[in-house]
Amino acid sequence: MIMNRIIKPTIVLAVIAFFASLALSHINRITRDRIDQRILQRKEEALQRVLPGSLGYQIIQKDKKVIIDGKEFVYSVAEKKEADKTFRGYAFLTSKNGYSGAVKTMVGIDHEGKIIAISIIQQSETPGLGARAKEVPSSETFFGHFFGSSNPVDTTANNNNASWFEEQFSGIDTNHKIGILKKGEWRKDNTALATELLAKNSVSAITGATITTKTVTDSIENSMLLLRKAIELENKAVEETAQ
Amino acid sequence: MKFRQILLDGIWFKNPILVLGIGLCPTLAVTTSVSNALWMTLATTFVLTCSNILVSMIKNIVPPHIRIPIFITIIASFVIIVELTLKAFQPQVDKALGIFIPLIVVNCIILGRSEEFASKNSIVSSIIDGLSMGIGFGLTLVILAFFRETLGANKLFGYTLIPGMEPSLMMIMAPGAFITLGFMLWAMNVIKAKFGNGGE
Repeated sequence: MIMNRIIKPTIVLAVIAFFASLALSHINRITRDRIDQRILQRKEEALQRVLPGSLGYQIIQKDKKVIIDGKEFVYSVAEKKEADKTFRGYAFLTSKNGYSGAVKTMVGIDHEGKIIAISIIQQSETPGLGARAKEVPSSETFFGHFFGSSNPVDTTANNNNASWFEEQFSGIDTNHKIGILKKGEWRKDNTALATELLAKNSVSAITGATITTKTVTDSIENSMLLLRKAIELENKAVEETAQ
Repeated sequence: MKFRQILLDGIWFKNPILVLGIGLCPTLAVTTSVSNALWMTLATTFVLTCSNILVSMIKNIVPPHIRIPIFITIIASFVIIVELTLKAFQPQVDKALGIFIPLIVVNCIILGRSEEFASKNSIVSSIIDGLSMGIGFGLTLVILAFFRETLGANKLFGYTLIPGMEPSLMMIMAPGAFITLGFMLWAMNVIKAKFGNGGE
């Protein structure tokens, strides 16, 4: 009785759990390196995108760690030389919970506190809604792709693999609050909307996903507070060594 | 022909979504684009077939009152294998499907088939059942995704269909999925009424 009700089930369950964990640890060992590599690569690409070499930025310090208010803050520093003046740009990875799970964004800031570019490197928002923050519009049409297109392919739309949502952040001033307006899709060639939004220091929300939009702007604002403190600390340290 | 019946059951007479009404959560969630639906089908069919094989293999040594935890252990292991493999080799797909890959664990199609079919039938039958249920699930997903992507996003496989046309937002959101599913059920019942129920 005891044998059948208690001991046998325990043994069966233990044996199956053992084989399951054996298989999983093997799979984990095979895939772990590649997964780590992907994450690192994605971070690296994002860093290059938000502190672009094409604007003259050269990364001088990567993943600098400081402790602010008991929390660790990691940022990277780049320098840009322009007519014997040196400007500093900063990049940091910021994260906040969105509609479902963390939205991680790499943000590049120039010496005036304006956003150079942002790149969302991780999100699990609703496909078709919040996930459109990462969606790059395809200039190709379905019929064009399969039956040969006579439309000239728009080469300006999609050269840096950034979504319109990410692109509209360029030039936003982080010294002021970032507003959110419901203006529909931002387009590079719609200069009227682009200038209007920049004048109001606002971004256009993704239709049906204001929460995701707000998550990104909030996370940028939160991390900017930390970055400002980090730069202050840095300057203080420079002064002290100069004395 | 027993195997032919199992195959037809999964695809049509006992279609997991349209007839059995199970596995609706991933169905409604991932059908926003056809390519998502296809990858979801592939992942689910893999897990379903593999877990069916294992469950059928151990059916005689599993004590009946602890069968559910054992089935779940097997299913969860296969899901993690799929998840890690996708993360390592298909990061784009992993990004698109996100949370729905780990959620295959709680897809009732898989536990349902382990419990109802694989734990009572031979290994070969269980493989065929897993494949046919996967195909039935996949066909429903692809048809659903086809209508939702074309009408809701004006796209197919990510390519714009009619340049400049404003798609209907409702179709890409949850109500669009329910409405399309309703129409599919209606179509299925019309066909059944016309050609008879067959099978059983």
